[in-house]
Amino acid sequence: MIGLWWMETIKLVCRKRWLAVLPAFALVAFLNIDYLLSYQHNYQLHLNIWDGVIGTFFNHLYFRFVILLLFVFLVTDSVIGDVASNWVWLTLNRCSNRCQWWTAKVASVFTAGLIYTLLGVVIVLFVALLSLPYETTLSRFATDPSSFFITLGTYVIPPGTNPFILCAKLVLYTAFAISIFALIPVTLSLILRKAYLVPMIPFAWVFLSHFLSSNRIYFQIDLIPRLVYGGYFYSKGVQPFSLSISLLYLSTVGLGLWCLGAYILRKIDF
Amino acid sequence: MKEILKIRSLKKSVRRKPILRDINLTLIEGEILGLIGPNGAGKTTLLKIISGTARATAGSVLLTEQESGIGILPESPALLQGLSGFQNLQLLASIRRKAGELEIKEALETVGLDPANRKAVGNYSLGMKQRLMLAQAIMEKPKLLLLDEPTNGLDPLGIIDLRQLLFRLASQGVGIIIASHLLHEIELMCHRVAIISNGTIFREVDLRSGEQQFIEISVSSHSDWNKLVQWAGKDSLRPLPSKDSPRGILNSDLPVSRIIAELLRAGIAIESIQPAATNLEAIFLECSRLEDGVYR
Repeated sequence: MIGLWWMETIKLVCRKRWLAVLPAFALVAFLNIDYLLSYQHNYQLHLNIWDGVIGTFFNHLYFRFVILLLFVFLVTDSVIGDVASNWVWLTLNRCSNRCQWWTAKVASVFTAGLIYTLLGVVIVLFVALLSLPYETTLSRFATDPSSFFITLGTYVIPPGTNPFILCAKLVLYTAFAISIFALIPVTLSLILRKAYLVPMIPFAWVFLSHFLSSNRIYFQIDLIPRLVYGGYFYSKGVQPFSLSISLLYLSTVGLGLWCLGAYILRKIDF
Repeated sequence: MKEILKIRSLKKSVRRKPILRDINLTLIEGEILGLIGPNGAGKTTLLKIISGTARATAGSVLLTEQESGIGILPESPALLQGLSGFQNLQLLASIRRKAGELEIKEALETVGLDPANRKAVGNYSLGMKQRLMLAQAIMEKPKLLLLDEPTNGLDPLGIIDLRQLLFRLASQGVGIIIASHLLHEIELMCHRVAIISNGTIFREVDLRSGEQQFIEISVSSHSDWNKLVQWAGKDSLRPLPSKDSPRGILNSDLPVSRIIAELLRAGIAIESIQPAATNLEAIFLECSRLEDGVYR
């Protein structure tokens, strides 16, 4: 099982398309830091590299349309590619049962999510380091934005938060959340097997979710807004989501997808 | 000899369309069985069902040596292009943990590849990829090998190597099933052949027995052909496409000299008579229909 999981992860991550991670994260980091620097100049703020990370990963637009969709693009053909190349014939035959194969696939998506997020944070930190100073604490802008009398301060991080711990939590949560989301097309691809159709589903969902975000009911039940770690540091009045409920929600979706995949696998041919 | 694979009343339908109708097949230790049939006959589906990649609609597949696993060679090479051949095999071996570094190196050497070659598989020739695929199929020393078009991409020397390797494995008790379109190669490699057509095993032929013979006969005119059909019987004579004299393959257990004598006695003008180039081709033609001079 561990061997299979390791093999699936290597197969998923060691691909040329993963080179897209570097320019994608560098681009969003540059856009975010450029935006922050304009505020730093206008309001005489003191920012540091952690503002770069927070601003990039907490931004709903960057997260939905770049970070999330790129990850979906990277892992969504995990099953379809195996079927098209006959690789599935070699691996499935070596497994004791199909459930083991599916569990390794799911685990490899989570591992890929972790590697992806870690890579992203490292790239963003590196880009931030080019224009912002390194400090071991969060800036006042991150912990008390309202003191600057600007509307920008929508994310409030509790004062005294260790930036390294915050970053670790951000990486773990984001990796978990984006993996759950990516599991949806991966599970669907067990039946659909159309390389062009399967990624269209999450892409369409992300756009729909963005335009329907003003609808309160839809916003509450939609999975996508809960994927952004920054949503739990929102300062505008009432917090829309609770972290523990979201974790339960995401875990339930993940477990449901695993069960659905295992059930589908009992019925299908490769 | 011990049976290692027993297939009984196997059926497979996809969206109510029958792919395999009623397959019964047995493979014994050390036997090489060829599966031949036209495109879409169900050869690959049968191999997939045996390996567990596809599900049967009805019937049973019994593997007596299940623990030793099945070695599979798919039709097109399925490999991770960025890794070396050795790394590819290492990854696959890590699933069952039955083959260590030593077995992997041994398998690579057996198929004529260098285990120390660090070149990425993406830079391999088609023949090298096929050899590598063969190495992954044999590295865990399975008791049953399923090979789908194993000669794909192999040069003549590679094909001879493959043939020798298969004979060696068979002599060690490995049962081998080969699905192929290449009748000549099947004839050289296999002990027995099952001809699949329209999802059923149309005929099984033991290539080790020389009881039946196939003779190609051409006669002077259509009236001679009609006499020949009458003499041989419809079931024993298969017409071949011809521009000039009518010709066909005669399936008979009589010696050629007696056939000639009897045909002359029956007043049939023979243009030529000779043993058919490949027996398998003649058998295979029996499974096909001749329409407008083209076999379908």
